[in-house]
Amino acid sequence: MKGFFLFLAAFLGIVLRDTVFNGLSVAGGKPDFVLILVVFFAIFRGSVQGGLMGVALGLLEDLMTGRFIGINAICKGLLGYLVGVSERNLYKNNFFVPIAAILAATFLNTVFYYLFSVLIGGHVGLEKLILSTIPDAVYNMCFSPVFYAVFYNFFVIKSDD
Amino acid sequence: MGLKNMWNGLLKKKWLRNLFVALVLLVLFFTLAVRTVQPRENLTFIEKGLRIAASPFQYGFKGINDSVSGFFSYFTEKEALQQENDAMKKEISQLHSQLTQMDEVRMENIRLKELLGYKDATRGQYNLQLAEIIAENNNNLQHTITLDKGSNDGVTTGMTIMNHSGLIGRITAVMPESSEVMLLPDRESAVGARVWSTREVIGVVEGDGTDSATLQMIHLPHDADIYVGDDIVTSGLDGVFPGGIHIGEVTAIEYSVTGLTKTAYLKAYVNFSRLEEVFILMNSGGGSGN
Repeated sequence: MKGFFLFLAAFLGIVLRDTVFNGLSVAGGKPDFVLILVVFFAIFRGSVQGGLMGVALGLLEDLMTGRFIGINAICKGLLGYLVGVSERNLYKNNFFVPIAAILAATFLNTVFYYLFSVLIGGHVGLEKLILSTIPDAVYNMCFSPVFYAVFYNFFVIKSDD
Repeated sequence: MGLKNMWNGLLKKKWLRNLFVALVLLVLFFTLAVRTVQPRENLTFIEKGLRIAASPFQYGFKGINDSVSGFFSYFTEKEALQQENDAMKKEISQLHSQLTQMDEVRMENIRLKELLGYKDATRGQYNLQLAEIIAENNNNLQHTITLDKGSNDGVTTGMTIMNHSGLIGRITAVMPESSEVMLLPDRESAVGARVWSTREVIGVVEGDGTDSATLQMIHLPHDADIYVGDDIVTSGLDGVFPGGIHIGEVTAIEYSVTGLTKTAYLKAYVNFSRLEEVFILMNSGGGSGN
């Protein structure tokens, strides 16, 4: 059931990013809701589930908006796995953990995206990619407390009940 | 038998099993990405299904987007709009005088055409359909927009998209109620082009992958007659875009390392970051629709 809601949230997040947030784009940056969902899922569910959810939601993103199927699946999968690996070292009750995790994940995602784009033969402007990552990260960090509160409620408070 | 036991033993180790799954997924998606990096004629049924499912949301969110943008632009663009308004008033008065001159030229043109027995070349040349943009997906790897017209409106893949400023791109995927456009700045987009004034220099215009305003005309011979300020239009020779549609103005020319060829950099006439309504050229693209 949680998986279904995550897919629904990712689906709506992708549509929102390409519609509403086009008008609210700051310096070319837009929020990446899929990244936020994958990172927080991995924080609460660990590396294996985080990685698999990253692959699944990344694939959804590829199928909905991309011409190159697989690139977001790989990047988000790796991201979910890596965040999940470090999950044990994260103090989940700290307010700054989600913000710091999202900041690091946004930049890491850019690195993966660039590397795999070059490997598959895509043309990516590195300068533009770096410049757009900064506003992307700010946007993602702004949304992270709200999303984290929902995840915390689902995976910590509801699980304890 | 021994090999099978060893394999089963390895799979029982959790980390090895996870690594195996990870590698399989990596190879699978990497292969998929490599295979789909080239432009495709058709989308898979899953992609089409998801985009059809997203269409109603895109229409709905478009309304919110317009309201939100309008609210913020009231504050941010008020001063700019005032200046623009003043400049436009000035321009209108200049255009009025030009219009009078144009009318005279037009009348003279009609008379001359009648004399020569020519048909009106422009009337009926372009069958245009107005479309609104309901979603944009401009990232570092691709530049696409989604329009509110689809196969139910007679749209097919390959159709040309333009506005009053010039060429925008072409339709790459069609759903019943919407369609996707690959914009000119997309690196996979290539257009046969030539210099408008001389009509001689022929090359290929494509995005340069850095920003949406800069295009490049590549593989030009070193002695080609092309200069900064030249107006570049579609050649119509690529069989995709009709000829004579304005693309951009040459801003710089750069010779290759060998000196055998040169590249012309263009500033697109169309402002790709502020697209709202576009025209679909209904009688273009060869109708290879799905």
